[in-house]
Amino acid sequence: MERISLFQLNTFIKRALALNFNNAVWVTAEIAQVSNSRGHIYLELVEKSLDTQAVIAKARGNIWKSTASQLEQKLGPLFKDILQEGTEILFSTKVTFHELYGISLQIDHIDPAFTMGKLEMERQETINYLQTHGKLHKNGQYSLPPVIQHIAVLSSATAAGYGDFKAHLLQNEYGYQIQWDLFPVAVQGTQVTQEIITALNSIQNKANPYDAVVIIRGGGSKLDLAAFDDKDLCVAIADFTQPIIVGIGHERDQSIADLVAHTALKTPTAVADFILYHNLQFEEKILQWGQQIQTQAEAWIREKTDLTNRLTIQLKWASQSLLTSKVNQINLAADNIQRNAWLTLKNSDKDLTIFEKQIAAAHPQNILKRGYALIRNEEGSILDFEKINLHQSINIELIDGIVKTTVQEKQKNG
Amino acid sequence: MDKELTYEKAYEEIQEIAQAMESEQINVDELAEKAARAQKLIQFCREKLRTIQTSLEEVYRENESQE
Repeated sequence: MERISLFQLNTFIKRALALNFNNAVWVTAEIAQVSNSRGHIYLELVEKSLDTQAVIAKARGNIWKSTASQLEQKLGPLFKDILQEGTEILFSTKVTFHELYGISLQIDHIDPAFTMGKLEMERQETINYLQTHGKLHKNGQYSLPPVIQHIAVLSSATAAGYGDFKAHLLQNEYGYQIQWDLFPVAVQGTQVTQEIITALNSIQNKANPYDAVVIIRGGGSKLDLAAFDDKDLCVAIADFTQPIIVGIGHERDQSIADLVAHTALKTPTAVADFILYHNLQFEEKILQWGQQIQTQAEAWIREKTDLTNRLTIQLKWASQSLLTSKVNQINLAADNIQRNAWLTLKNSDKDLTIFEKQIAAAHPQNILKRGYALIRNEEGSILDFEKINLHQSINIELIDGIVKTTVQEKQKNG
Repeated sequence: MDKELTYEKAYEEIQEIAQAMESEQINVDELAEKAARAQKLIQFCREKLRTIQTSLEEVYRENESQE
């Protein structure tokens, strides 16, 4: 039996590989781990089963320092974004075998379009999922209070975006005082989803709800933003029962978090502006209401003043005319009484005059004047025929003298 | 004059006296007394009206000066 040494075997494998992998091959894999040593980049590449997500293949890959700087020049910041744990990449590689280190993939090129396309596909799937499960506008149905005063801020405490946000809120020209509690979370990398969900849960359990929850981070590349396309994160945002405002620093692209949030803005500064403007609108509304109340009150007062003035004039006329009529009444009564008093006096006087005349007329002297005579005896006037006796001596009294005579004869009338 | 006297009461009495005079229910003995009473009441009523007139004028003068 022929025997060979391990080194001979490895040399043989090396030759066999070199013969079969003459040219570079294009390979797709997921980055499981990344490390960097003296400019060289070491990757652990895996492939997972579509069904079980179990690792079904594994290999070491490396990008030598010179290749890395070439790629970085070519791809720009995308290069670093692509080389993240969890990213799927398409790369061209030479399969090499080293007698000591075994097989390794020397990466000489990475196709960013593959990674971006893959991400875009995942994005689309996530959007479809959110849409079919009614989550796209779910958070949007909660309304912001008229004034935003107390907010929860989810951000990295050291992010520049958070600093801008703070400064903007503190230095607002309207003097609004907005309180916030910072919930420090990672805003890039693989921890984003987990940390944001944990923070949202602790906010949800607070006794006093915030007026709004704000998720902010500074600007970043497209791949950096991919954390905010995560399905679980977006579901958590959609299912949250208070309005969430996001400002995750990007100018052109839209993350899925933007789609599910109550309000999406480009930058943390824009979120601060939004909050201030929201409160400003309330203040303007209040001022407008105040103005309206003043205008209406003034109109009302004017109307009532006019009415009162009219009533005063009416009252003046009415009272004057009432007084005048009373004065006339009294004058009339006074005249009446005076006239009647004089009249009564005059009538009484007239009556007296008549009586006087009548009495005067009845005086015996006056009767005698008219040719009548009085018959008297010693006892006085004789008015009764029977009281005159024959041969009695009687006096016949005329107006100008008395005749003494004796009764010769009596003859009764009838 | 009676302290309790009001314009209305006074006016009523004046009317009674006037009516009594008109219907000749008042005899001469009462006439002077009644006429004097009526005159007093009329005086009272006129004074009242004058006072009210003055008050009204004051009220409306104040009102006008306020406007």
